[in-house]
Amino acid sequence: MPGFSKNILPRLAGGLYRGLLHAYPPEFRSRYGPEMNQLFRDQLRDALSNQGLLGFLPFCTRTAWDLSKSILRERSNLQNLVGMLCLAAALSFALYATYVDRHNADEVYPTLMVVLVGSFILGVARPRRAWRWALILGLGVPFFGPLHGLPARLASPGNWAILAVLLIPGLTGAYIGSILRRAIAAAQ
Amino acid sequence: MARAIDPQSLLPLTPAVFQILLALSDQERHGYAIMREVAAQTNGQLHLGPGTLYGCLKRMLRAGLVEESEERPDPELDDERRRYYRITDLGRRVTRAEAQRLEAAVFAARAKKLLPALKPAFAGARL
Repeated sequence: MPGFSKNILPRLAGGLYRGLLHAYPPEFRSRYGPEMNQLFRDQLRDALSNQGLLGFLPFCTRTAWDLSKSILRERSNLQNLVGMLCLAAALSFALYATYVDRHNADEVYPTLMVVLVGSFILGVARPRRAWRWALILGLGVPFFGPLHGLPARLASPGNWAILAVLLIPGLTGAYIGSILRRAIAAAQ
Repeated sequence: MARAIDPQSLLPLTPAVFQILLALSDQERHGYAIMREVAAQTNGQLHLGPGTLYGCLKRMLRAGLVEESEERPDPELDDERRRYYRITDLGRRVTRAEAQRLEAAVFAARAKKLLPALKPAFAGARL
């Protein structure tokens, strides 16, 4: 079926490859996508002309491996890694605030202090959209609260209204951290 | 004035980056020509896919090892316009430094008898 391997298969494979290019970050795709697509068509033409349809399967395997490797590489840059670490830190601070609240059932200040310090550190680490750290820590305490069976002041099950109280130190800490980080960057 | 970059600070290179720089060391090439040249240089052992090739080129452009040339059709291929890449002066110095590093590794391997010793060019010749 020379028509199939010369026309239909390259078109189908080319369309599929163009679709898979959307897995790359948009800026990478817009800059290199057309050239990658051109190179893919060149390589496919070589594989089909040298080995016929038998060469198609190894070619697909190589291309799939190349795609998965390079997509992971382009997607996992340092900024993403720092973002993931900060998210994990925010969840850890929320868990710790819940723990502190559980062990200081008659005092709210230790819990508020953990939220303040935690959101400050996160605000310094990732100053953009600092409000999200306050929100994660504020939501985290009533969210993780039901995990504990002991009486607690802030983290008692269903005590979602306390979010408003936790947001005050959360936003304060996060924005002080954010402003500090920006001031240091401006001074440098 | 831009600060001079020490080629040693960019070593060691990955095999793909080193082979791409070698492919560009004698002439500027587009993506497909780089891929073919790398396959020829490595006796077909290194096949660069589009993702690996353009990922490397992106990082090499950022590091100043290569630069883009103009887009033009390749007279040996179809009439599609292709973007060409060429090696920079820094890229050439880094390639040389990496080649010397690899040469030193081969020398060490010969000294440890992991590789056969080189024969002198005129060994056995009757003068």
